[in-house]
Amino acid sequence: MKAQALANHLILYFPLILLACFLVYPVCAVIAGGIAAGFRTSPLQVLTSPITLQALLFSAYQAALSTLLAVGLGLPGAYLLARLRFRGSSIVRAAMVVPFVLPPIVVVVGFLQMFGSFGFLDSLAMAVLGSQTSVLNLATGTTGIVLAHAFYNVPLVVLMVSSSLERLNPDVEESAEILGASPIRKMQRIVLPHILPALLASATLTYLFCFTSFPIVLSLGGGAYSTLEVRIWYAFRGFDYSEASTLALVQILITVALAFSYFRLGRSRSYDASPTSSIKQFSIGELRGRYVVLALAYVALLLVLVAGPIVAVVRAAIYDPVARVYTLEGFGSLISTGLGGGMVPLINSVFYAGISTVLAVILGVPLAYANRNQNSTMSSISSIATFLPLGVSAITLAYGLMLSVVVPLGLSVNPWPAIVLAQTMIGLPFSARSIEVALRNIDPALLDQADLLGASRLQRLFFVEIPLLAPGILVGAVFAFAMAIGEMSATLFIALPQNVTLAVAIYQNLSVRKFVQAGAASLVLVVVCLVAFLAIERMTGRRLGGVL
Amino acid sequence: MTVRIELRSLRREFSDGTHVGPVDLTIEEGELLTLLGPSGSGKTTTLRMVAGFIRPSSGSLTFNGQDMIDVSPRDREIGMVFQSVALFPNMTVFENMAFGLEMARWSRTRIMDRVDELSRVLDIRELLNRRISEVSGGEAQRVAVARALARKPKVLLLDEPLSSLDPQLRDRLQMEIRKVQRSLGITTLYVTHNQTEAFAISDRIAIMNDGIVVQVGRPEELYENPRSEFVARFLGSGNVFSGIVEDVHKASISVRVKDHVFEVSGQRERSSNVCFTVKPENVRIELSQSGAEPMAAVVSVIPQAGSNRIVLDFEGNEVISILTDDAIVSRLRNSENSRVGFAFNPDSAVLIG
Repeated sequence: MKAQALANHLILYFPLILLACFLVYPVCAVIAGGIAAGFRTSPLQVLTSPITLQALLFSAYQAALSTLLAVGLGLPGAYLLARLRFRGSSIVRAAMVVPFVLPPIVVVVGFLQMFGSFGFLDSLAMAVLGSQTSVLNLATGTTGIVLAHAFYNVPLVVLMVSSSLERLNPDVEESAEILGASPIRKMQRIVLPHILPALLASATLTYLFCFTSFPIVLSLGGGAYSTLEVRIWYAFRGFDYSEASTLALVQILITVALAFSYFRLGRSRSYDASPTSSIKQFSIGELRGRYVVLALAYVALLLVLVAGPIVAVVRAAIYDPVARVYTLEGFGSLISTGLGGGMVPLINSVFYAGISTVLAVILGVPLAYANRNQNSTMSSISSIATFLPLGVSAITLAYGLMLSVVVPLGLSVNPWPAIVLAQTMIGLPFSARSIEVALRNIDPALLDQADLLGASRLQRLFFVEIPLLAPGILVGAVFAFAMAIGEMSATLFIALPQNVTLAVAIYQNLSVRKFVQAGAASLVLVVVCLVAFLAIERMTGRRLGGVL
Repeated sequence: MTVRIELRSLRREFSDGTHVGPVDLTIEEGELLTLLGPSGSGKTTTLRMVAGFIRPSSGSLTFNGQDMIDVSPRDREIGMVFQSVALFPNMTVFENMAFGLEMARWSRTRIMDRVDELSRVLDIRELLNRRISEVSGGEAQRVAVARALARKPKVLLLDEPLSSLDPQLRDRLQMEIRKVQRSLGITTLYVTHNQTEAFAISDRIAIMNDGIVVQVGRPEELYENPRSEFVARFLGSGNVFSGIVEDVHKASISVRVKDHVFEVSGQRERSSNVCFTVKPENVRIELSQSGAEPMAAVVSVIPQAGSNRIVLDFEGNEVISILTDDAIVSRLRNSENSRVGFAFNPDSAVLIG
């Protein structure tokens, strides 16, 4: 009995031990080492320097703008998705996940093609105005950054808020009506308080993602706009470890606070009752003309902002904006194995992401179980551990892994294990969360039934629990794979030329203005993510909002 | 102050092709009328048309002769209690009860007084500061009733308010609802699928089936004189037999049911289809068989207060007999699944329709 309890604890604790070794320790080592070394600038100098202050302010400012825009654009969508009865609403709901799993660097490519110079919108404006030069470039500076962040996070807000709205019992709304509440008062007093936790949680998550955003700011912002993460990147590149470490510490403190409040908000969502059988819905025919126009305008806006960049990737793969010709050169380079060819990055991407996915699932299952643990300290620790990777700067993690894994183990010649480790950490929150959601949906009576029928613990696990969990594990694996294959920040930091992945190759091609090569590689990643989305859709049906 | 509600040919078609109505019904001033019927019979749809949540496709709805179709739910001066209770989870009990009053812009002192008064009537004073998650099912239902009554509505609508409660609590609460409704004299429409509940609480009952009202009456009228086979079977007021008239006598007819012919008092045309009921207490069980009476299998013997309930299977038809003769009962109990004869007096059979 004692041996079994010990085994149970080991199984539950080993993800925590691994997280401690490969996430907490490297990051702490970097920060402590950097601050102690005081290589070029002292920590105090860094903290008080105007550049730091500017980066901090810009991080906060662009994240706030992005969050406002995402919530503003997401709320009507959440309402429509929950309340409007239309054909294909389940497909729309599932498709909302696509932007979320799309690699940021691919979004950059799509954004440049959609909103940048000589992009779709620009070409249209040029044709209308009869201009030969670019007239419209929205994919640059703060505008570009905020729009790209909105692209990512509008679907997040829509999914989380609409799934909360669906849990509002229609009788409650009708009670308010019959007690004399006008539509506005009903919104204020009943609907808004109900969706508030979900709204705040989605806003916090959005703010967190935007605050630590790296590839989008680096590529769309140019050198002029830097967030903390970008400053950390430049500091490491400039070998100023003291500055990098200090900035990383500041960023971690902020993001951990944000992640913690998200986690707290998630807990307080408990009074959201189970999904109601009847949702108060209306069909398009019941809407008055004015509202139909508004709804259509909104949908059109969302299509341009969210679907536009994804579709634009197709054009990016075959249209060379420098030479202004259509070409298949991008695909040619993609299958070339030579120097600068796409074959090696493609193989690398699949190989690294594949191993990371397996690891993320192996770590995710015990974490999910630990999250469900009756013991509340244990479940709190594991919940925090699950979300920890979301709050840690990918660049810092990458540097930490270089320092504490690659160098001591003599992997400097080929540091691929560090890439795999970084990608595992980034996919872990998503695999653990999906599995936890699946675990929560298992009827405990079913497991008791297995016990009563005389199944041993292992039999129960393999013949009852794992098959019931299989869809959740698969969804988690798909999420983790999508996150891993799209990961750019840490990989860019660690990778030597032979370790380059597709996401990194896209960035490198973009920076040397090889746009079609970047476009073709992006298209490959879009297709991978679409397939992933279809797989998730098949496996979960509705209710993807619950995974986030 | 009190309202008389009239529904005239009220009808609603749904996009899936189904419809409810036409419903014709009058609810008198201060009366408690129950809509009773199986699920899917249109009770709730009818109630929601009265509330204004569903707009009728045709027909009229009047309160004291005043047309209500174009009046929005919040202007109909209705109090409503939902099956799901539907209290506002983000508010306390007090805030729930005060909500309607706030919407009507009552002053703070008047709100306090009114909530205090109602909480005494419904015995929920000690709950006022609790959150909704902290009250039990029965308490929540009281709060819901109090909330519905707070604004002194002219009409009270109750949609299966007690169906999620356990039987004892349900009995107590239905008596309390009845008491409050009587003392306020508020015109009330009550929806339930539970016959016992309907009989206990109602002044009159309207039985619904397939979207229309099939019979309206006081509980004892419905029980004694069901006008259709559906009502008789639904209320379980007796054993229902249906068959064909084989022969017509002076004061009675012979009705063939399956392979047996029963004598029933009353007149019908020869060869017509008829339906009749026999009360369980009038069904005799014959242990000494003469060969003439119909035979049925004994399904079960259920003891109940002062008597025993015998369930028989007569060629697929359930026949129930209430016996007080312990000698017969004990012999039946020892011979379950065996076949026995049964009979009834022609005068105790009532023709339906």
